[in-house]
Amino acid sequence: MLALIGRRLLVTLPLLLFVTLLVSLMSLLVPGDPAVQIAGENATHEQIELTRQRLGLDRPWHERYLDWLAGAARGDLGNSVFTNDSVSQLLQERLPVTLALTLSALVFAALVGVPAGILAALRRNRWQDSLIRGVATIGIAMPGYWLGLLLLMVFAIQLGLFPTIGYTPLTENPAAWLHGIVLPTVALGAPAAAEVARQLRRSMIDTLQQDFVRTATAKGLRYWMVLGKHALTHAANPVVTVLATQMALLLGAAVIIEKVFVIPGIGELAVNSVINKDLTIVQGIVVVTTLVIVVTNLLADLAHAWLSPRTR
Amino acid sequence: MMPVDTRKTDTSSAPETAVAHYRHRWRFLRRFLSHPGAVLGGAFLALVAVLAMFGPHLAPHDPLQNNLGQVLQPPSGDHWLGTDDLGRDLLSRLIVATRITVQAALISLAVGVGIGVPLGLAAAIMPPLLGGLLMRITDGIMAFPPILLAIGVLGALGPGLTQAMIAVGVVFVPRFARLTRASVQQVYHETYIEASRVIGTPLRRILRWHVLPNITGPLVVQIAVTCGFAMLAEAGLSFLGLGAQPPDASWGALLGRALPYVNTAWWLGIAPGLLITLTVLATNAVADGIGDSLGRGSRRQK
Repeated sequence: MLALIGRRLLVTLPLLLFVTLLVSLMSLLVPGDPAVQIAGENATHEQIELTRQRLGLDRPWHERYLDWLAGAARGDLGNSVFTNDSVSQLLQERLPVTLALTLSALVFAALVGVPAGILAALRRNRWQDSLIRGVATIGIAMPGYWLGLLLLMVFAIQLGLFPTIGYTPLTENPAAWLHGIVLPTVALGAPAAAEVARQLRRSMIDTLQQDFVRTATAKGLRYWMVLGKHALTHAANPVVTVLATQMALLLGAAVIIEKVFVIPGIGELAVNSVINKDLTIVQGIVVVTTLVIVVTNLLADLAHAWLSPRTR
Repeated sequence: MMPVDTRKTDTSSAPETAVAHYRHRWRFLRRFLSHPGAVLGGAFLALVAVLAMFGPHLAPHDPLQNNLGQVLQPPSGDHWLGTDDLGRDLLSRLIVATRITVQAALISLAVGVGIGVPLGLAAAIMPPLLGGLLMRITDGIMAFPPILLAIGVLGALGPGLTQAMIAVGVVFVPRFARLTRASVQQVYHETYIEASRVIGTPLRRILRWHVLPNITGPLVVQIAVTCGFAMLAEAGLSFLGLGAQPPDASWGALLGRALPYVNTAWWLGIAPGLLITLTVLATNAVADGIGDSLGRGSRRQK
């Protein structure tokens, strides 16, 4: 187990370095001179030159990258080119919001997708199966933000059951947070739930046909024991992989859902930074999300090892 | 990943006679037509294609004509889907947006296939060490959330539809590269290709006549699957305002524009979303149909 973690961490470090290098190289591609933009329209040559010095743009690219890297290692991701806000500070405020939304969507996906997948597999080719497969097919094709828009129209505006906008931080009032996060969670988690259900159905059907399940049934084990103890642990493995990939997808999709429900996460920050060409912030967001995904994959690997002793 | 035929024999990619080729194609069509979902999806996509080609002629109103006297009108006999915040006819805007949406999906596919396939091909025939390194890099890019990667690329390119679709195409590159490499590796060391190499066939001819025919199947399926994703990605980025820029609109951009009016003009948000969902649904159904209808190995038992 420890060796596994160690091996993964060894792979992770080069990956993180590579991603930062890539993002940093992108800054060379940006058309136009940021210094000219920031100095304003009527800036003189000296003013532009001063701005350039202040931003460190007069130094060669590799020096800036190494500087940034040294800062990043200490948790300082630099400052916004425009507002001079600390990027670490901005991310510290906004990332927890997005992460909470993403995690609750993941939980929703598991809570809905797992029973649906099992039911579909057990009632294979009957109406329950057809229904679940049909809904899942639509769920995968439907953009989550459109579902969000529809939910917002029906449940928040027409029925008034949920707040339309306004976000309450979890630390401030957990009940209000939960109330406000329900619709975004459903909108974000629905496609993931569909994917989980499809995957679990397939792997459960495969598992149910295997010899060890027949043996367990033949030796007189109760139906639910066979299902729960033998089949499910075996079938759960691909689902863990799906959940890990979904985490990455959800983190991206959350950016769009946040816009629908006006949630102050990294989504708005990312979009505004792209429009303003504030690359330091984009860079910070990219690096931090990579880190989150690397950790998720590590957790998924551990879960794999726990579920199937063969890979341990 | 795609199930790929491992039982392929030496004859599978040998130059076929015209008759065998014809029979092949016919079998594919027969199988495809036996999937009602795929046929229905294909018909819907044909409709979308007609809208994309002749949209400007089919639109009942001028999609860019502001009419401030008729702002945010609900659906009526004159404006079937209502009007938007500038009094423009939503139906006309949707029809005209079809071309932009389809174009966007095609651009990203072209970028993904155009870079990904040669990259995978190169990685497969390169020395294993180099090829492996190349694949590690694509692995790293693939681990990334697609939308965020696209936003990162857009950070460098600036917002705009073409830039957005290049960004989405970049997301697809590793997927196509991996698939190509895997498919090529499966056949590249078959005896008939080794034999061909030994007798001095130029690399280019080997690739064209022996390798490419073997990877088209999985590649076509992957393109079809990716197509649906490209549409969702374009819609998402345009929804955020990073894709199509006004006055141009794609379906996603129309949906994004509807957002501030959910309270007052619900109809603006229904039609574009429905159209996106149906198109992606149709694309996925066609992709499934193609996957099930292609050669022996690519068929999956349900």
